[in-house]
Amino acid sequence: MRDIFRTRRMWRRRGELKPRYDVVVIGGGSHGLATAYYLAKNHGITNVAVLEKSYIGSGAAGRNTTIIRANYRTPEGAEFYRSSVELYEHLSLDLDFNLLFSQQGHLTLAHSDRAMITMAERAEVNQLLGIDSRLVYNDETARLCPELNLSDDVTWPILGALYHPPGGIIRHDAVVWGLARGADRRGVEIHPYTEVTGIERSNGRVTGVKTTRGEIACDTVISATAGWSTLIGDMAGVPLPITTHILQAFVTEPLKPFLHVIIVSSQMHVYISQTDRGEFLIGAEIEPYTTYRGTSTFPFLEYSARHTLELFPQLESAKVLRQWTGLCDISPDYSPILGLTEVDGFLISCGWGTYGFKAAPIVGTTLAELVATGRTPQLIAPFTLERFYTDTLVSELAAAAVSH
Amino acid sequence: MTVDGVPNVRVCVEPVREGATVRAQNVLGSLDRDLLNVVDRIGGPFTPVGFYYRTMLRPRRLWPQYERVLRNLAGLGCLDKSGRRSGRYDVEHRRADVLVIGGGEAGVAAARAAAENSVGSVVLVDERAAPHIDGVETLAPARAIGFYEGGLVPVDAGNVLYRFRAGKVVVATGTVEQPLLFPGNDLVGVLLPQAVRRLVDDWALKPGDRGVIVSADGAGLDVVEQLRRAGVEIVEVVDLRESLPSTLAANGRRGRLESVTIEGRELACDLLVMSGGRQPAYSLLAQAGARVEYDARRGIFVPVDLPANVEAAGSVTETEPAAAPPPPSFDGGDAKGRCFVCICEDVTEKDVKRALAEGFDSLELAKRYTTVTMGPCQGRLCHLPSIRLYARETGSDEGAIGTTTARPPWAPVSLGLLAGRGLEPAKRTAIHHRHVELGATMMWTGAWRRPHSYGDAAGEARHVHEALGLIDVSTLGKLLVEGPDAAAFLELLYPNRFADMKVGRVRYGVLGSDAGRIMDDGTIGRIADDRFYVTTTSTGADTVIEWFDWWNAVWGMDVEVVNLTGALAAVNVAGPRSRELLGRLTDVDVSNEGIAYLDTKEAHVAGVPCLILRIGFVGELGYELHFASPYGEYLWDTLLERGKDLGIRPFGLEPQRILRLEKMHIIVGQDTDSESNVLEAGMPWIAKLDKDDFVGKWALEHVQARGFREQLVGFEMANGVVPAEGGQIVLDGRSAGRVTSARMSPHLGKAIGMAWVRPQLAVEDARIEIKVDGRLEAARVRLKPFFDPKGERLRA
Amino acid sequence: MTGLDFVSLDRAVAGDGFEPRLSSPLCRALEGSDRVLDLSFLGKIEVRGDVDAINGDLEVVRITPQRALVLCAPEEAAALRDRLPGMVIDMTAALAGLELHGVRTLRRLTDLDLDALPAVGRVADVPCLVLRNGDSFRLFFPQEYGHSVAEVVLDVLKGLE
Ligand SMILES: Cc1cc2nc3c(=O)[nH]c(=O)nc-3n(C[C@H](O)[C@H](O)[C@H](O)COP(=O)(O)OP(=O)(O)OC[C@H]3O[C@@H](n4cnc5c(N)ncnc54)[C@H](O)[C@@H]3O)c2cc1C
Repeated sequence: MRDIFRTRRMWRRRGELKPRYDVVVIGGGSHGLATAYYLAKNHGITNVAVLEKSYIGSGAAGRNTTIIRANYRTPEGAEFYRSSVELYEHLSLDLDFNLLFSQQGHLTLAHSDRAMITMAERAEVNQLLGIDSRLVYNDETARLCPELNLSDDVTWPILGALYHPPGGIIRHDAVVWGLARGADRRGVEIHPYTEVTGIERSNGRVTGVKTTRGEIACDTVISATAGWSTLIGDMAGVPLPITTHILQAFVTEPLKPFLHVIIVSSQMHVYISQTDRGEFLIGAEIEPYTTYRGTSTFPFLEYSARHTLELFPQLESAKVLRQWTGLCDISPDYSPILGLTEVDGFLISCGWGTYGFKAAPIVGTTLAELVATGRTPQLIAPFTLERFYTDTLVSELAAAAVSH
Repeated sequence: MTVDGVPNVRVCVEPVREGATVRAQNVLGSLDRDLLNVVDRIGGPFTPVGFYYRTMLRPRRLWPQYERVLRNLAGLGCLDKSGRRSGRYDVEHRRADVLVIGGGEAGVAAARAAAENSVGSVVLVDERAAPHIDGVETLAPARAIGFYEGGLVPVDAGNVLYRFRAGKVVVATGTVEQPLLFPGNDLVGVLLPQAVRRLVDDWALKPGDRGVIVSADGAGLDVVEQLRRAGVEIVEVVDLRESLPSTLAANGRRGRLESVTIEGRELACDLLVMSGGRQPAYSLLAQAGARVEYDARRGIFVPVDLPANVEAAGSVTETEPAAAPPPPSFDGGDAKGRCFVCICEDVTEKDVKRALAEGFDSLELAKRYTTVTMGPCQGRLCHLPSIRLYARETGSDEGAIGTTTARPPWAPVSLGLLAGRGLEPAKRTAIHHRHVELGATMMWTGAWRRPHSYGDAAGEARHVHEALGLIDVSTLGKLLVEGPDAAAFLELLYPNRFADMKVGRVRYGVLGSDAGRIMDDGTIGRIADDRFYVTTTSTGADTVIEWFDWWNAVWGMDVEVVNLTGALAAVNVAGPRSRELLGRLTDVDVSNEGIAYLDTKEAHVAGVPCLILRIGFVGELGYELHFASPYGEYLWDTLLERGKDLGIRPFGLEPQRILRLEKMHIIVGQDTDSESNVLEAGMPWIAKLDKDDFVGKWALEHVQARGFREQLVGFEMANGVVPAEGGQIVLDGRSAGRVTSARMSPHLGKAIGMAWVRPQLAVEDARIEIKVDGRLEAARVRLKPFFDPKGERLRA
Repeated sequence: MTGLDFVSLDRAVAGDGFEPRLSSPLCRALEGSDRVLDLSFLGKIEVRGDVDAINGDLEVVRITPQRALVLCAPEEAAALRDRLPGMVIDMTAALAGLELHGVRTLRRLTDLDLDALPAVGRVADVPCLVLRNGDSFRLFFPQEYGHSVAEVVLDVLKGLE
């Protein structure tokens, strides 16, 4: 308790860049910082620089709607995300920083019998892996969320839902700051306002990076640049099967606790949670066009409001306070792309679309292990870039599109 | 720290508050406590910013309880848990040549000038009231809520949302009075001049008995007269432009102002009017694309480089320094009060300093850590003061720090208004009413509503095998592909072959993506040499039409694609007695020679011209009739009436699913997913890999070469239990496949289904185990249709 | 029968105890309302190809340089199909139609620029062709949305009462 009154710096002031690091991580979002943190913590690799073109958490890490869950559709995906949720459950203590992880439970609504089949499939896959996840019908849904409008008097009546008790939301900035502090304390250098402009290679190997603050030599570069991944991939000569779209979200004014579970409706392209601050946090699916222009749109507010009120007519008078957008790197099969590439020493974490925040700790641990040991951990083996050449895609379309 | 000891804080306040009032309230410093305030009482006299990141960590199992407390402390208003939508909302799309936002002097002048120069339609909106101006349409109270893409300016007028697109937008939103930062600036009794004007002028209230004024501009001094008239005794007036006191603090008891200390002198008072100058309300301009720049001379941020078609008018553009930039904050000497930077979010000067000292040293980081500007006032009152503070504390200047992004909406807007009318367009078939009248339970398939069944799914399915059924299949996508290149076009689009097809024949086709994945399926009938009739799945129609149009444009072939989905209704008359019924209604020869299996023919049925397709999705002799949709009810009625003695019975989607499953006919999107291909889905005959080319051919060749990874097969349960669709095939405790369809077949008396399994399991009679309700149930793999494997009934 | 008779409304024949009659989701939804005029069974013939070659005293709405919709009385449809140039297809059954009055009403239904009609856009959230003649507007949209459009139109009219 005492400690909270002491002012202690979270991280060192940004210093000069060194001429050489063992590992350069591009991107000061959740994945970049987690990778740096676990490199130092689990493997003692501390001669590491995290290069971030803006402030840490300025990308999707600081804009996402923070849903953390493991109830994916494919066994490969579910197993992977389960490991991440487990890491998140202990991350506050691990970082000695309260990330306000609120495991309030997660309900994905089904409005058609086709959706019910998908939910059933996910529940069955999850249960085989020991993930707490099951199909519920409206009597139970009404108990879990008495506020939800379960009547037939709507465009899309609710038939059932996939219930996932460990699903939750978290304070996204806290995750970024906690990881940054943890990495910094172990010797990792964090360099905000340092943009990577080129990747040096020779004989198919990475030799260094160019930045707006000078050049750095290194053997290993990890790109954790999410929405900007294809730009970095191009610098390294690695084309990525990714398109960048924007995803929008908004919050209402803070209100007294009302909703105690996360509600997702893929059919209506809307998901809703109430944060610990009392705000309703509402999001949708990606915009169909590709862009880096982060302008919010008005139609997004209109249709999200319409769909929200179908589920919670009580929110009619709640007011929208702020809306924003973030970039999403969409892969063809809605699964991530992780690990080695055809360029030696150039590693990637991308293809995170609308669902990557929940994966930060497991991405960090597995990529750190890959760097330290040179071997791809089993958990991420299904997610290599190579799968697009060998046609072994991992289809999460049914579980990831709007579910985050 | 105990949890139980926490008082049940805060009564609920009204969720809906008028914007104007909110601001006044916040300036008054409401007695409301929110999160940090209350936690202060738990944590002691002073709880620093970000404290919750550092506390309540241990023990981990107690966190959910801590969290509940935190949640209960947050939030401002309360929602009625059983509330329904009550309001009636409309949206109105408007165009105007000139839209003026703000009905103050400048706005009115701009509107008047535009009207006098007769530039066209001129509209003025104001949050409060607007005077009548000749030639100008005024909307008030109405608030512009943002400046969006394409110049869209939505205006909140209570229960109508106006969506304006204007030739020119004039922003005359004026300025926002800024508070001063000194200890005790949150006490009740500390007001901004604007609040004084409202209290005195609008509500005829006397804001206090003894008043002190501290002002960095004329605004504070302007209210002196007003206060005197209201009977307030003016104790002291401090004009910061003339003298800058070294200390300033407000003191109070129980949250109310009791005195002000200026340079050690304590002045008893219950009213303190403060004015820290005015900040142009530039948000709308910034959203429109203007740059925002710091004007060091005036100590404020100003909009510059306005985009074309956007103008600023009035005080939002003022260039003359009206105020002396006040110090970022006043030293309060030994005052006890807290110095607030952001009242909505309860952030004090100390919090900001602390955040900077902890390393949150860029504006964006500090904003997120302290939450300054993230409250309901949207930074109107705290944005500038907080930047002044950052500048002083980091030893840089405001210009270098810059501003944060002006995020829409500019004013909070209710979900009710945004949502408007809560209707989503839905499609109905021409026969919809009949289904409802017959008591069908309706279900969604895409944007369509369709009958699930008419009350007895199993009975309806059995009846099709035994006698005669009728189903509405109008939701099928229907396309006409016509032109000299029609056959060549379909040859390239589908893996199937069409060039050799005779006129009057029908073929089942599966459409693949360019990666060889199954997109859709349906029937393709050749109705003339250069004319094909193509059906698609109900939910896939729109995608398929786009797909056809796309490739048609790419290949530049001589083909026209026409969407007839809505133009035509369709029914399937199926069952052993269907031929007899059809014979009664048409003159054409309906014998097996006249219309053979997979034939198509045009004929009048009950007087209505129909395209007849003899196909067998449900596994029995049957005829699909496609005809102009306005005859839907008529033909439906006629079929039921003339088939009465044959025992005709309508059947819904659910019985149709049972029937098709007995035939192992797939449903795209249920039995297939985004990765499935025709080879592994068990339909190799579809893919004519010897064709020169077709969309996705390379991918199917690749699948052929790499070998199968999974295969779609049928299965029959050993014990008659029906597994869940989505159920898992388990091998050695791990998933080895998944059930995509499963039903009890009333006709066969067996539980049957389809599943994707590992190739080694895809052999006739292989034993598999399926998880059902936590138990493993045995099943046998089947590769041939469960019912009529040779298709004799179809060809009968 | 020739070719595409099954698409048209005017090829049905009564007799032999059969009396084909017309109905639609829109007619159903408008039952009992006299605020709007149902144009569902007005003839609508789509022409693809050289739309400049269309001649005669006809109401022709150009959709694209190669596409036009010719509006006609129901009984003229058959003759028109025979004589119009290019690829001709009868869209009478595909498109429902409404006629209603008042700029204000339209503003509450669509964001199309009412001074730049005819145009194709969204009305009551469904794709729609809008024609204008003074204060009167005609809407043509996929008939399967008939009931949805009617519901919104009637509600908008109520709101303006
Ligand atoms: C609105 C929204 C809602 C979302 N909701 C969820 C959710 O509920 N649950 C969930 O799990 N996921 C969600 N996501 C997705 C998730 O946020 C992302 O997948 C995830 O944050 C990506 O990883 P990251 O944090 O490392 O990326 P980012 O935070 O985007 O980090 C990438 C960083 O790279 C930096 N960078 C880029 N180029 C360069 C360069 N050349 N040099 C230096 N630095 C560079 C960027 O500035 C950025 O900070 C959401 C995303 C959005 C936009």
